[in-house]
Amino acid sequence: MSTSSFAIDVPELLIARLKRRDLEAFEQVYRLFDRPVYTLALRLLGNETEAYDLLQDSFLKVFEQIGQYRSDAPFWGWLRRIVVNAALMRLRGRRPMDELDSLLLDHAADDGVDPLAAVSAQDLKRALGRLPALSRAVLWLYHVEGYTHEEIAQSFDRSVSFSKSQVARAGARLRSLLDQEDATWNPRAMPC
Amino acid sequence: MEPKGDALLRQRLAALPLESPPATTWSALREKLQQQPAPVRAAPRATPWWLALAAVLAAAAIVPGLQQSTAPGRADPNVAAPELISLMQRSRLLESEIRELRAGAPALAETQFEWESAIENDLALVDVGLAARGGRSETLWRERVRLLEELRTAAQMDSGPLMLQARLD
Repeated sequence: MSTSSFAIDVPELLIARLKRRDLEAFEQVYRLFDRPVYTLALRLLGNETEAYDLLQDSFLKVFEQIGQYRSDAPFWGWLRRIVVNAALMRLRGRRPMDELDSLLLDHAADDGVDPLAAVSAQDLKRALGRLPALSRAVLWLYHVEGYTHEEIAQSFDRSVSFSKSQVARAGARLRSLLDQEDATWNPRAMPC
Repeated sequence: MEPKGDALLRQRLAALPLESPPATTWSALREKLQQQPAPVRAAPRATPWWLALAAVLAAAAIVPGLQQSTAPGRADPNVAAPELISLMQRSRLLESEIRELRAGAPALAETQFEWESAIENDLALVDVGLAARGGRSETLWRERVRLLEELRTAAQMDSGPLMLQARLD
């Protein structure tokens, strides 16, 4: 199931104008997708400067390669593939993939209350930002973009069990970070 | 079945608000786009948009005619006139010829590109007009054929600078 913010239909006529390199049409498409692209880039890379660069690179690539787009698949899926591939290229260059496997597996305190139940969006974003980049990318692609384990395995050039393991580990790590946030940041947890 | 914790995680992550890039991003991007090198023609499309549009418009002109009853003694306004059908066929033939010409010469000079783009922009305007009139304006179909003939000439000749200037004049 996908909860992707990319799923926006683009009219055929607008695509046709893009293919003629009409800058006004390009701006319309940019305005439709700038926030989904930037958000995905930010979630995958965890860094505003890199997300900004990725946003620009992705749209430049769209401009260069729009002639290769075939309308038998939705435009948004094609664009999202460009963004994900470019982000993974950057992540691969950043650190060895094997580092993912060395993630410590933290477990949230099992007190019966899921820390996700009451966390604020701000705290969730902060905890997400503290996950290792590749781990966060796998988690986001699976849960939000609706990628299957097979698609993640293919994108990362790893096995399906790698994807399953990373989704489980990253989820547990995120909950653990939220528990720590709760103890560290939440004023309600402080003694009166 | 999905574990309960996964559903909550998905729900919370998906509910995070979208982030906005800096407001100046588009102007920076536009500047970069304008510095792009001379374009190369795209590979011929399996189904060009104007062909698809023409098919839709033709269908729009015919299908309602089958569905609606017509008062006796009155001409059915939904049935396309022979002249209109002939213009649509001519339009389709020209599109096919242009595709073939482009497939044989994928690279094009900048002025040539500008010339062809100017024609294609006019074509887009005509198509908008046609769409607004349900594809039944003979005048617009005639103009469409004229523009396609000009586009075919553009694809056949390397005379961009002269023709572009003539078009601008």
